[in-house]
Amino acid sequence: MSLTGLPLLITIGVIAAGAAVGTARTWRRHGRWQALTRPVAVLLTEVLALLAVGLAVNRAEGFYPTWGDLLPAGVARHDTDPTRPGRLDRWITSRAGAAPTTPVAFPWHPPRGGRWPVTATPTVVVPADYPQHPTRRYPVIAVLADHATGAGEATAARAVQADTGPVIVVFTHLRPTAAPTVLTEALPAGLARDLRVTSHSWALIAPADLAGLAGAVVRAAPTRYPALALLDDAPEPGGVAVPADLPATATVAVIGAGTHQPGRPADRLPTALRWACRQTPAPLGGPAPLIPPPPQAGSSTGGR
Amino acid sequence: MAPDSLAAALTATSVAVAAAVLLSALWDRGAGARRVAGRAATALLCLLTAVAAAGIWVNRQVDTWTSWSALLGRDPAAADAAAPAAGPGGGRVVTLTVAGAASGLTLHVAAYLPAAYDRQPTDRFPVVEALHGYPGSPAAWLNRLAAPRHLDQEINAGRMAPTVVLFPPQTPSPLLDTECTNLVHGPQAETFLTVDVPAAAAAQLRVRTDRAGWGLIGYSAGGYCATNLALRHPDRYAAAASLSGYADPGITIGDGSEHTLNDDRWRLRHLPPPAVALYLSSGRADHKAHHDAETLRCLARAPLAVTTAYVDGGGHSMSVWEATEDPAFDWLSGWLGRPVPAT
Repeated sequence: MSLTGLPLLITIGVIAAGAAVGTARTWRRHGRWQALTRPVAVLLTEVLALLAVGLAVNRAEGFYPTWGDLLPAGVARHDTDPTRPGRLDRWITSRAGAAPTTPVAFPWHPPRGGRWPVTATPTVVVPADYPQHPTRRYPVIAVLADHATGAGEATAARAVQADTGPVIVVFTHLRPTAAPTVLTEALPAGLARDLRVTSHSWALIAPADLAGLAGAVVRAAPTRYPALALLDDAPEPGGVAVPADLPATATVAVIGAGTHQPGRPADRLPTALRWACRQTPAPLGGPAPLIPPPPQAGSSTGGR
Repeated sequence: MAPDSLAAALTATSVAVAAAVLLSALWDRGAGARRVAGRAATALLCLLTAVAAAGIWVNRQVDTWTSWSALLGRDPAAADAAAPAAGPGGGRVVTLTVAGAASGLTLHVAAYLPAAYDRQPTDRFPVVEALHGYPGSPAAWLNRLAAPRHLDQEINAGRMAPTVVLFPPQTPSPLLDTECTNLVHGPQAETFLTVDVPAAAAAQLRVRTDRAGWGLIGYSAGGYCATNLALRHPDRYAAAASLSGYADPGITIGDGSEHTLNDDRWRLRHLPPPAVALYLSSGRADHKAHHDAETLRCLARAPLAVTTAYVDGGGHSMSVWEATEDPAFDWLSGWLGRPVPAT
């Protein structure tokens, strides 16, 4: 009999009414046992009446649709979202060891990357703890590197990781003519294949001459790139124009002379990397499994 | 002996039994009007004690009143100050007093501080506002849902970053359902939660103050609160998780906005979707919550990101929310900025 069905509710209601009638009709019976039967009859009637009210409320609100929900018999864990290893995971471990002490930088050849309009092969820097945490996914900072950031880029990425925490950095070396889809589709797909990366909350760093491309990328994929840092190499403030019509949820910083993030030109990439890293989530393991509260015979398991 | 304690529940049950015994014993005593009065009084006592016992048992389930002073309307959240601490080596729970300059509400807010909060004394941490259901109180998160223990567990497992979790009340009166909105001629709960609480947290705790560092979670009415506040304030919150939340407030706000700006379906149909992330979970047998979550998922368009997670069976109950809070907190943490060194 269903916990929320009318049959149970009617049955309990009828029994409660019957108990009330029976209590009244037998009130003066049972002689010397009255001291026991009367309180028992009153309490039984009260409990049944409250039970009927509770069933009616539960039927209306659906708090406990089944007996299994009301009386959980146990739990079963179902890992519905295990972290898949990246295709380069084993190669990174073989190259840097299981516990490298510094971030690992390497030239990255993404699938069909030969078609990307780049000035040089993209460089990827993975944090030192990447091989040690095989269940974690890492956020990404995509750097639209050009002549302004090319020198010492891996060194800058390594230094930043020591300051602000682990993050994967990819220096794309894209030309200004690159289509935004390279950064919104091809790059994420390639990184997701090769490394354990998150699917959102990345950051983007662009020099002034690629600000237009960066703006188009943030507009097209605001949940993947909610943070944008623009490098302003001009000696005076105002050397870079923040792209217009960015989503209201985008966080933008201009790193350059006269801005709130000043510094020598050589320091601007590290400054931008530190700022961008702070905008990203911490590397985390996959979410805890869903635990269906009342496993019932014959039912399937929940999943995301 | 708090009104949500086992001792209170057992005492109330004992009194109800005693009232039934008293009714039986006094039934034949006295004569005339005195007898009638005695019977009526003891019968009424039976009724009241039975209802009171049932009420206390229900209150134990939903943690609406956690102190007698709260029951009497003196200080709804005072009991949160006595919230249980997390386990050894884990985080701790403190209580903030939020004197809301913007909302005019002054309420206590419990705050879970992760163990890293003390270990990393210069860092600023991401924040999650955890909203309770109706009827209910923040104590339900702390006691029935054991949030501090779950948070310690998820943080220690590396599935969640160290995060400060705030447990604000969504109403100044346990029996007044605000659904976290600004009621016309009533409490300005939305302003309290989105302006006053963040301001108080920034002033009293080492927390991130930017949008990337703030998220929402809630169960039942609090689930609606979480999604609605995130959709209404995407400039303040990056993500929200709803455990068995509905798509509309189900109350009268006073300006008709329960059918428009405070109806999440209406918002998604008529307004540009914001770039926030929502996590919608429920038991599949919780028909309205499940239906509303599916409706929101279908209405969502980029850049709004929606993740759904359903458990088979399950009702609109604490057992479902305790089962889903771990993955919900983990998911939320994945959308929030990391702890950062103070600059």
